[in-house]
Amino acid sequence: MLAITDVGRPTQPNLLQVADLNFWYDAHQARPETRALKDVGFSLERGAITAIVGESGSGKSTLINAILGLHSSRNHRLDARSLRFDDVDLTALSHRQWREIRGRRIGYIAQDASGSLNPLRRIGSQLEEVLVLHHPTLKRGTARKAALERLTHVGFDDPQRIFDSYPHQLSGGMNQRVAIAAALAGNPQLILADEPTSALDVSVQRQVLDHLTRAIKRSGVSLLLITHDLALAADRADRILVMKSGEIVENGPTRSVLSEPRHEYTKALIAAAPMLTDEVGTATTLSPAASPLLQVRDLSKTYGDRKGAAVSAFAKVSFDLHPRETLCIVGESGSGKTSLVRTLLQLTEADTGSVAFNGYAVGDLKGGDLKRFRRDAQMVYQNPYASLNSRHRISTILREPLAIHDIGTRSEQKEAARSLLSRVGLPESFLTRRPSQLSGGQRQRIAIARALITGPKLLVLDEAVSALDVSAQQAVLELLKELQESLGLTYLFITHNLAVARQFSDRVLVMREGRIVEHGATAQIFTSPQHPYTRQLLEAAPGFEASALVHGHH
Amino acid sequence: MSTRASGQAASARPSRWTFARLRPVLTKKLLQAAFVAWASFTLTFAILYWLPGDPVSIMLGADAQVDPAAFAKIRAQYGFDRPLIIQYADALWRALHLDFGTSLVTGKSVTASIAEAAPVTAQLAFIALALSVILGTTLAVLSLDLPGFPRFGVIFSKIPSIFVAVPTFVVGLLLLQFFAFTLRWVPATGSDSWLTLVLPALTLAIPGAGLLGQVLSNSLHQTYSETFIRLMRSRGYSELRILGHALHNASLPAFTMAGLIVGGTLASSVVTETVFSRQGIGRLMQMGVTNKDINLVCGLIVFSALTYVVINLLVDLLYPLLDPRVEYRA
Amino acid sequence: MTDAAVLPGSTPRRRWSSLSFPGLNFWLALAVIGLLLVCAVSPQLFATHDPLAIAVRGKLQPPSAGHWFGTDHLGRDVYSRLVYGTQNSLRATSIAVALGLVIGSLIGLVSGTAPQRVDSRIMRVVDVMLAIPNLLLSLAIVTALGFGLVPVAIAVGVGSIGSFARIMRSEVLRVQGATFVEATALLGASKGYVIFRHVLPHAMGPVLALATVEFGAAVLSVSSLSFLGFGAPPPEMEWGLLIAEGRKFINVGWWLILFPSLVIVGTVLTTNHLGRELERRHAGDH
Repeated sequence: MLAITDVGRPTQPNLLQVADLNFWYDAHQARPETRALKDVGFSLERGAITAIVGESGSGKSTLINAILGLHSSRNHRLDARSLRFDDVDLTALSHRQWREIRGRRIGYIAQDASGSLNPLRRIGSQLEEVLVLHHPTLKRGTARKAALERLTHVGFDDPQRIFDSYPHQLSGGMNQRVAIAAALAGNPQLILADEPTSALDVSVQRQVLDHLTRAIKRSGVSLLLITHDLALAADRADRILVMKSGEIVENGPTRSVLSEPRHEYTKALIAAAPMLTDEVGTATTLSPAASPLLQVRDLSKTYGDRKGAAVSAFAKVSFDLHPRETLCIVGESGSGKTSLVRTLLQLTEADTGSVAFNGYAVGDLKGGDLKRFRRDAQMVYQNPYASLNSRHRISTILREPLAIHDIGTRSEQKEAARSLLSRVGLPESFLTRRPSQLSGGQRQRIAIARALITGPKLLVLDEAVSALDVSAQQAVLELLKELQESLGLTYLFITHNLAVARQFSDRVLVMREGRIVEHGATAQIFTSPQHPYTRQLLEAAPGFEASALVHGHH
Repeated sequence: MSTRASGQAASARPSRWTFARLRPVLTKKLLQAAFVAWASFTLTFAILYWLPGDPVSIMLGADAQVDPAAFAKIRAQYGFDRPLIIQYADALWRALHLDFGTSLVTGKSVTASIAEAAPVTAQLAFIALALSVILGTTLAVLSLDLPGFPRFGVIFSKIPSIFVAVPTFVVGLLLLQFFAFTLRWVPATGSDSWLTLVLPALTLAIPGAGLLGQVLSNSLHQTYSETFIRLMRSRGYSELRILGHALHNASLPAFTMAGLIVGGTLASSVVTETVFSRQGIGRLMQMGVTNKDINLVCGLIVFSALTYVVINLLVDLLYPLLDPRVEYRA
Repeated sequence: MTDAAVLPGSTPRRRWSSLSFPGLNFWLALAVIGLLLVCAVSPQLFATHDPLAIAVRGKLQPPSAGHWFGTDHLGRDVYSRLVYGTQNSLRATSIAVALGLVIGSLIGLVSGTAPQRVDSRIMRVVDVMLAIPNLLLSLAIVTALGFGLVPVAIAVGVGSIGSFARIMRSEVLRVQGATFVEATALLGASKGYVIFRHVLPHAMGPVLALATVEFGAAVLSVSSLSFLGFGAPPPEMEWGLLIAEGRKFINVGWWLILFPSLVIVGTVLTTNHLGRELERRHAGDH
């Protein structure tokens, strides 16, 4: 690939050169073991797309901040043998000099698309402001023209409407495209993109990344893409760097990193990215005579919105869920999947239709019968930070369901809590801890244990692994599978993540705007999707292109 | 407030301030304002005329020795011998015509007394509020510790919390002692020359500046932690330009507190005007309470509630101009 | 901080322990409050003179070794009068805060857990209470109840009901919306169980933090009302009243105003600091 560089600047062979970069958040505690970045070294080629892959806390954002000179703490300490951008030494710049670099030579795109623009100003005025800042010769009329032109470059067909809008009137994906245009306004040589699409829906994600790569290729800019998603990196990047606990553990061209990973951690990441593997959930063999545990018929629900108009959350939903089966409901945000499970569990009432659990109608349950149903049907929430009462100890949290249902004596309850804790793979010493002392994965295990302690038949998993890092995600999914087999559980799994659905479920139900658009066995949905929306979702999923690289189909 | 952020990916153009759009909103807001005004009158009436059981004995004072016949005569004269509900209906009807009866202290009608005193307080409060805004904003901005500026923020961030911890009368007396008696720069009391305005205005400005400084400082810090500020830095914006953006955003919560701040200033004027012997609303209130002039007290409290209602009405109507995310909604 | 990758015992525990052991200032503030309480309960421990002993010959003396804070127009020891005044000031303030806290949080709790129609009616009344500035509402009540320490305390307490009701309601609503509350309901718990076992303990924290801040505000209001002459009449002693008495001699005796003022400001700053510290701890708690 040919890189277009600015003529007139003395050019170094590499655009960015980092060597032995060490970073501490607190200069007073600067010891080798407290480093947030440990001897980080790499270089960026001109015009290439490089991805840094790592979990939260791996130091990838810290690295970006160091390159931009925007640190989150004041008394940090940064040591580097080399931290050089083109001809500039980034370790010794004044505030004024940094302003010459930022925007003009290095652009930046953040994860929070909707928060990337000032909510009180129109898109147009913000774009004009940044254009005039970097091109002082622009006059009023020409700045406007330039802004409209930049908007077309990031794929807007009606730039005038976008120009006149406020950020809250646009979707997250549209805001991110405006932010890309703003980052490119100063014609920088390098764009740093920190998880630019992680907060967006899958189909929007792909669209935004397409516009980003297109805009970058057009102007010959280099891109440093930060992501937690190896599959996404594999789709887009020429080169992949893997970071773990502040260190770069893998660095190589995408193809070789995927096909011959050297570091154990990279291998684990590849194994944990289901789109990159061949593994497809195999349907549990069901005897056709088995009566369904959950029978949903023509279920509909509407909400009144702020203006008082009726908005349909979901309509005419029907499906069966058989004992010991895992059914995945897949849909993007706003597809009605969460409203659906809340209705199934009688947290809200349905408008029409029926839900039968074990043969009895859930909608008619009152008082003691409803309480009995709660013992049999439990739920695990997405965010384990919010679903546990932070004031209670783990033992109190685990015993609470038994206390509510008046099961067993105090010591029996304690014994049950202890045995379930070891069942979900946590040591007994955790009983006296509070949720704030646990990691996300550990909290989710506690949430699972609490849901299981009354011995339910049905477990609803509402995005139960989406808030976790990839490695914790895998471990929790394996635990769930193991528990299902040994306890004979039935799972209703809600997710937006196709990769997880493919790996975890027996059957898949695709929802869109409150309706079921496709329904079938997992293998069938993933190999021969019937509905165009399902196909669109599949193609948008990260790793769709890269899977070929791993399996060497090319 | 019934205005709400709308999260619609709107096809509609941003709202404009047209009368046709505004009329239903205005009607609803006016009704709400009327409700608050009515309810605050009722609350005040309940406290002043019902709570004590017998308003006449309040007016005469606990120690007064009056023979029952004279007592009954006064009750009849003021109409306190009628059933409470009739008294209330009558008082409400008269209040609607801005008639709160006669004041014992001034001997004039309550409305006329208030009308006479209001300009004195208004002048003072206006200067005090302007001072509060300037002082509060300056303190909040200085507490930010922006990159590239000296780091004295910690000191400036403490000042507003001291301002709100000092009682108004202490501020007034200390200023008086220092500037009027020790330095003899300004006269101690009176309402004639503009020099007499300096100390009371400063006294009245301190609590407002403290409150505003705290609110603005909080919202500025919050704004500076938002992504778009970070992105402005990443685009090479100067700190001054970023401050301009941030102040607009951070002023929104402070703006919604305007009613509270003006109300607080009115309340503080009771003490300030007493300390500086100025014949304004606050002094009237102090004399009203001291002399158990319940008509005057009732009129003054309704007056301050009305001020609050009017200012909140203005804030509600102007707010969508400052924040495009909020739309007028009836 | 949503660092899911950290091991238990590293970052999360540090944050937790830093919440358990607040800084030196916090303990200092607690010590000051403790000292004031001791003053209020047994002033004779600290007073150096009889606060009512008149010595006309030694009137309006500036601070000295014999009279730390000087003497007033009747030759009484200002320091001892301040120490004795603490009792009245703190008693009135405590009554006021207790009244506002109990009634206000009860209203807020009912409002936050009641059906929406009841809730909106209660909150309308609370809004009206908030429309009248606290001090003016207190003045109206004092007019009705008469002058004195207890009427002033009640007046200030009633004035703060609105703020307590509002914060309790918003906390109850916030906690009720939390996932762990829905999770508990999903376990089969009754509404009452959820409210008293989960919602109230979480909502109480910020309300108590407000109570601490309101304590400072009540010190200000009580002393202001006393200063205006609506509190306990002389020869009773109260901080605001001491300043009102000293005001007549402002041009000759700066100490008559300065020392009581410093005590009031110090108390308010201390309780405000405590309140903010408590607020911070609860903010990190969710």
